[in-house]
Amino acid sequence: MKASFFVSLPYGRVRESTGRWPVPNRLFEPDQAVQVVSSRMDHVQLADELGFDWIGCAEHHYSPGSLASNVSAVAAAITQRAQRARICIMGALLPLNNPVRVAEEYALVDVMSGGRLVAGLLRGAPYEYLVYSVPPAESRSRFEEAWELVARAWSDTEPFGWEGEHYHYRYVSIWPRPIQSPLPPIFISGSSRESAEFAVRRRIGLGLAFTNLAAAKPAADYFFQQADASGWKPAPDQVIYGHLPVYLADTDEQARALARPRVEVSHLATGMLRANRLVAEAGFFGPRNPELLQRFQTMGTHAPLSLEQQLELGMLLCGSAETVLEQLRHIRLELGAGVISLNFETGADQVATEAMMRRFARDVLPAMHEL
Amino acid sequence: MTRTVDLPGEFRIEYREVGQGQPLVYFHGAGGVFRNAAFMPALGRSYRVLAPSRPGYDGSTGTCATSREEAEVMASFIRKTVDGPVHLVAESAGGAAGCWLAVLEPGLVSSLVLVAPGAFAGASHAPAPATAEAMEQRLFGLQPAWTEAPTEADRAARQRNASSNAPRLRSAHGNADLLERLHEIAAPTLVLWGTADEVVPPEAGQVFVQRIPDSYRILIYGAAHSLPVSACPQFVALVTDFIERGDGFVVAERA
Repeated sequence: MKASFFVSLPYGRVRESTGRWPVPNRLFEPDQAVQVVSSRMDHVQLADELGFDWIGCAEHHYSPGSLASNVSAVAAAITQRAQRARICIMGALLPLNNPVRVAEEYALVDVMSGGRLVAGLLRGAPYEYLVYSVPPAESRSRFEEAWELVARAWSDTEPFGWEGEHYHYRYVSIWPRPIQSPLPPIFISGSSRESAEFAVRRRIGLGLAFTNLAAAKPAADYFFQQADASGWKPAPDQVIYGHLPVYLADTDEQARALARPRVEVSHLATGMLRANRLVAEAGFFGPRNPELLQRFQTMGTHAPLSLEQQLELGMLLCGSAETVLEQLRHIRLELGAGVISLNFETGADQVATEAMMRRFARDVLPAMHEL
Repeated sequence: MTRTVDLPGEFRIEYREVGQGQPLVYFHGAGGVFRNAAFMPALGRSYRVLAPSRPGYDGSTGTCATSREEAEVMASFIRKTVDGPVHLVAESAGGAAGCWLAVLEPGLVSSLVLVAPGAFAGASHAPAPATAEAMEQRLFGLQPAWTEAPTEADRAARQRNASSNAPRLRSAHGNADLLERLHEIAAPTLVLWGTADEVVPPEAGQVFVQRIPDSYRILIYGAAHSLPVSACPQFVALVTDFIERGDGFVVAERA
């Protein structure tokens, strides 16, 4: 089992809590942003030195939750600090972006990293569709067409044009092409049946993020069923689960004491909950996934789950090294996941975060690799 | 309307003609000329469209051993019916004859559109369809553009054309002679392919833009092999845009 260190670039504390989304950027303070970005790139270098297998990043918009509005820029920065680990972009939000531009930027990251790109191409969370005014009901068809276009741009070696439902180009001939041939490893997000079917048709990996074991298990099971029916056996590295907060201590009690005040609160502002609901109700999930629609319609209406409930649902890693390894073993058994995306951004200061990374690398990572 | 024309060498060519304007000649694929294909009247709104059945297909007589010989007969057809340069659209099994015509008779071809030409492609790796309906879907996609639904007689004619002519569509050395002469094509050339083509894979289109000097290639997303039927609106729009705008074809008119 592999460990992917997730760099989320959180802005941190905002001087005024508005509850709104988008969060007004009059609250943005440049010095804080510069410090955040600088410290997270230090984490990247440390993760690489400590032996984490992958380093991951993801695109988000209009909120201090993440400053990674251009994930390719973040990945390019990672290439300059991580000399060994694979760089996993999870991912650009394909329907929101120019797909040829995404193909170009990812290819450049692959070159800058010497062929270490893992290419996640995602649809994104519902609220992101308010950022560039993309109709949510077109998300699926835009994603599938854009995916085909990106894969073609990476693999075709003569100029071509594209006439599609959503995209029209007379010339595509990207420079550079990716180093990895014929294609870099590719993932898509896989909470819906359509995603699993698409991944199996294209023989690509599945990413299960911002979910829990109860929701992810049916999705993973469906993915493996579809793969089996088509005569394909995905490799363990082709299922990623995350991004799991990590609370590791000498004892389970110490770890739970660290985690409880941080996880038993809601981190989603009412404005973002509303944005998610509005987009979900505008057809983002399509007619085949009523359970996903309901999840976003009711999100935030219940009290936050207790730490014990979240542990039961596999939403974080928490405990002693032995306990965390048992939690990882359980995830492997339930989902067949071979890569776990780990989030060390638990609200602690930089010294404590780095100490947690070192502890994980020392006490968990070697045995995790054997799972 | 369907007409015939007699040519030297005992060839009688049957052809369909529709519309008025600059002459546009369409070379059919292995199934022959489809009487009910909607792209014909659609192109006929802008062009005088002539769709000859090549020797050995439908009501055309005579036989040709190679695509080059087919092209020579078709050159006679164009001289007899148009007597001047034409816009040439050559599809699938007609692609090699279209390329040969552009090589041998550059004065007769003012522009060339190649539609999933099978001239140099190997056999498809996709498993053979189990049913006639599945084969039809492989060729024409899920939303074929017909003026009226094909009848059993239409299907039988298509099958007869394909089975009786397919074995001799290639010269013994796999059109290697044509491959070596593609660079002689002087006409501006547009190569069209569907991304869902399971008969001739889209990758087979690369060689045409590698070798034809003034050429462009457009992939039509999700379209099956026979683009005039499987992606009729896009096919007609692209062909018309390419003919009308010339070099300016590459400049976007919409986002």
